[in-house]
Amino acid sequence: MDPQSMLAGWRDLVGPDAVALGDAVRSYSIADRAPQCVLFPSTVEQLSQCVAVGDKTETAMVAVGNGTQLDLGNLPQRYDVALSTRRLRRILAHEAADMTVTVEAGATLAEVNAALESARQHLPLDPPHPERTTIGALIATDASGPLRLSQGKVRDLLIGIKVVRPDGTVVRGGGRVVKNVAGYDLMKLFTGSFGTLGVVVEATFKVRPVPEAEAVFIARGRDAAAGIDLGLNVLGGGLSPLYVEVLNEHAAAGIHADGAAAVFVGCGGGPAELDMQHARLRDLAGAEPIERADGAAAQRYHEQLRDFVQSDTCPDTGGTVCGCKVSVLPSQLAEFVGQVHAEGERRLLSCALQCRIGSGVALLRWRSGDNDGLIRFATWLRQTVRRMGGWTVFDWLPAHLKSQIDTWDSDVPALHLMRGIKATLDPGKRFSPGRFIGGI
Amino acid sequence: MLAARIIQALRAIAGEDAVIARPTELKVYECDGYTLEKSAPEVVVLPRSTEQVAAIVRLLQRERIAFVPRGAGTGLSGGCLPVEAPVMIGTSRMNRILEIDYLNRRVVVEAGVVNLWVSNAVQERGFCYAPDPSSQQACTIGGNVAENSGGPHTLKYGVTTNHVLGVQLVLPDGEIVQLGGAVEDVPGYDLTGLVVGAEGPFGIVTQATLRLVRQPEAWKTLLGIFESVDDATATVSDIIGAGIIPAALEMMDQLIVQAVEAAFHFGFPTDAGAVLIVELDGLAAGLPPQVERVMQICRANRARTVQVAKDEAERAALWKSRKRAFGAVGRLAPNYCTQDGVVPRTKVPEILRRITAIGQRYRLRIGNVFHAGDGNIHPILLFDERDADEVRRVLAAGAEILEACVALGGSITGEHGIGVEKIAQMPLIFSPDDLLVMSQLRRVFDPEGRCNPGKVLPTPGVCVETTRPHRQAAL
Repeated sequence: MDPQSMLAGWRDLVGPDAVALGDAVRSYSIADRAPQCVLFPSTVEQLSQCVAVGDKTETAMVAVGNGTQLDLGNLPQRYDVALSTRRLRRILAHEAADMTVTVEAGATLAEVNAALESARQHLPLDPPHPERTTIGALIATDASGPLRLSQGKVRDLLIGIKVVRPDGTVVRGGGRVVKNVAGYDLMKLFTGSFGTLGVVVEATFKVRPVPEAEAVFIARGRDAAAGIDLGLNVLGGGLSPLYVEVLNEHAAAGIHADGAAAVFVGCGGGPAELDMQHARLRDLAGAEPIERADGAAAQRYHEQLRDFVQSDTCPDTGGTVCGCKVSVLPSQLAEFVGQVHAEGERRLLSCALQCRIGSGVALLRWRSGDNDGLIRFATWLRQTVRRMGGWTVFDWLPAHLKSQIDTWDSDVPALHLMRGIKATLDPGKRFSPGRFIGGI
Repeated sequence: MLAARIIQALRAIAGEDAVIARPTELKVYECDGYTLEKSAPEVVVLPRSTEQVAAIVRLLQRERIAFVPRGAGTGLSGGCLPVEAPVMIGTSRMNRILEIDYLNRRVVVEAGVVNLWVSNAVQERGFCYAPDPSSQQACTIGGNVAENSGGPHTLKYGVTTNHVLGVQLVLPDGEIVQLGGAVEDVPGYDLTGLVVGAEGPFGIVTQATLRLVRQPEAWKTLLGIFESVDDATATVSDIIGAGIIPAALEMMDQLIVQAVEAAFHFGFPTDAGAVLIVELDGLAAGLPPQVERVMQICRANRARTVQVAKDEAERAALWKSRKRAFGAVGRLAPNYCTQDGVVPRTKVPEILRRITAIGQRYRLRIGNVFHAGDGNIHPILLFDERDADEVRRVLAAGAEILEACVALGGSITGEHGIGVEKIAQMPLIFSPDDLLVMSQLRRVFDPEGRCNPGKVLPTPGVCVETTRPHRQAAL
């Protein structure tokens, strides 16, 4: 079908004001690839009709919310149409005593949490920029933040989904109750699937009470490796932290001007619980002073720790920013950080580095004008992490490096099953072709 | 009938003593905890290692023979009932705890390890494995993974899927794959999450990497005695409404309390309408205000008494009574079966009223013991299997209870699984399109449908009747 009649078809389906073209399309580009148009269906039925038409016309579609995660993943093999969920943003149900919320995928995390606030509840996920991150993006990219240590990730909170399949069929998994083992767990399959299997249009989550109060305890008298040791000790006893994050000096410079590595221990609860944990952390830290922040100050620290991933916090040495997320065992973090610092010195690269202690996750950002050097460092990182049995996802790459550095590791086990799932659920490769692992 | 050479080949792989083929010995394996349907396998093989499992599965692949895995057989929905599968592969000899890593809070176990062994192995160091199904002294981790088992303490700590970081899986063609593992955030689709709770259609889980959690520093267990079930359920709603997430929130109604008291002599008043067990845990400093608040809420809902267990022994006795409630029911009738529906927490009073009405209509005695905190009900329907009419009424009443759960926005199973028992009810909550996705996924792993066939997914176009006359019922 020629582009003009395709366009007319989309307009008939969703209305003329729900088809964006030209300049408006550019912000939906993935690297240098812009879609022909962006569709803004306002109901699940409309979205499903768009997908069905896209399927018949062999259109490659990418589901988008606010585009916060579009830079994540490999370049799509094809990208014809962006399907926006932003007009599907209703809060469909929130029964406070049930502690569940059902929302449409285009609502942002901040919008959902605003709806829960009056009941003193929240969806305890804290990826960067909740005011822009939609529920759809959150699920598709399995976005998480410091709170994953105590509250879990999307997989631990998502109890029901509605998804549009590549042929436009709408299917559901799970339900609206907090405990449910009926049928296969489609929530797990779609979480972190990068939009390659279907478009999530509706989701039900477990929610939690907001802690009575939140405090952050900060230790700054040691280097990153010693900070990681302290963090592991915190997890070993006596405290019940919401999160434990360690920043090296370059990452900490984005928060404190003095640029010393720092351990942030976030705690929640009543005054007695917070005081008790403060005292216990002082015991663990020995002579080192422990700074305490409460209330709005604690909130600000939490937000800074949350947003690191998408900030370009790293030493301004010129050139472009690259970044990755590494996962190893928590006990391997100190060794990993040590190797990164040594290798960085050798290559004259300064890495900003943030560690989620309990999960064994490290977030890295660095900057360089030397493309070959960037690629060599990325290769070194990936190999080093694989030797440790861990995984690297390059979640921050400039467009010109995307064709040279794979976002994903190539040797993940059971890749043939993943390819089988993609081939079965999306045989025509309609959804985000090529952005995910192993060319999926 | 299986050819003798198949049985010989199984013996060659796993050893003489690992193969059971005598009909009298196979009787043990004819059902799990769901006893309304029975079907003995033709042979049971008890491998000692993943490699043996893989060799067995490769043999069955070559011979195009279907098989069913089994742990301890404590399941409650017939998940390991050998329907359409002549070979049963038991994991009971694969029972080693392979690795305990305290620093990273992970443990690697073989599938046949009993749930409670994990907590026992790590308790001295202050850790535990959180999911604690009532059968935890017998049920295996492999079975827990298949069923995504819950338990009383899952309200705060989550169910099995929240604690399984990875599994080793023998695919239906005999290939051994590792999904997930000790390191978090393995890139790619979350196949571990897909396998947990799927009831065994994707292969045989031979090992699992589990998360350990620290034992809470302190806990308080409260027992509230109420005149009526309504008062107790209102208390549950108010506790949650106050922003308190107890570690457990369990209720027993009068019929169950009477059975439990007769069996364990805990000291429950047998004239009470309902008892509520509330367990609070966390940092010591945080507990006193929560305990005080929960006691206030109980009193405000007209509790006759509310007491805190005075020591660990009393707490243990209380939990023993609760976890063995099902066994105690044996005193009330020759047989019982339980349903496992879920409703939104706020609909618990409504579903209990409907269950009472259903019991009256079908002239059945029904007791209730359940996880009130997550709306997961366990009505226990008493019957005598020699009374064919009563069996028919039990099946019909059970189906109606599940329909009522669905009508109230819930689900047909919270933790026991679909198995063979609830296949007929799957269309109540899933459309043909929903079920199609599931069967497509299954075919990716098991194109010939030889791994635990006849479970979870209804065969399209076949109308399954609730009495299932095509299978031998335990009459």
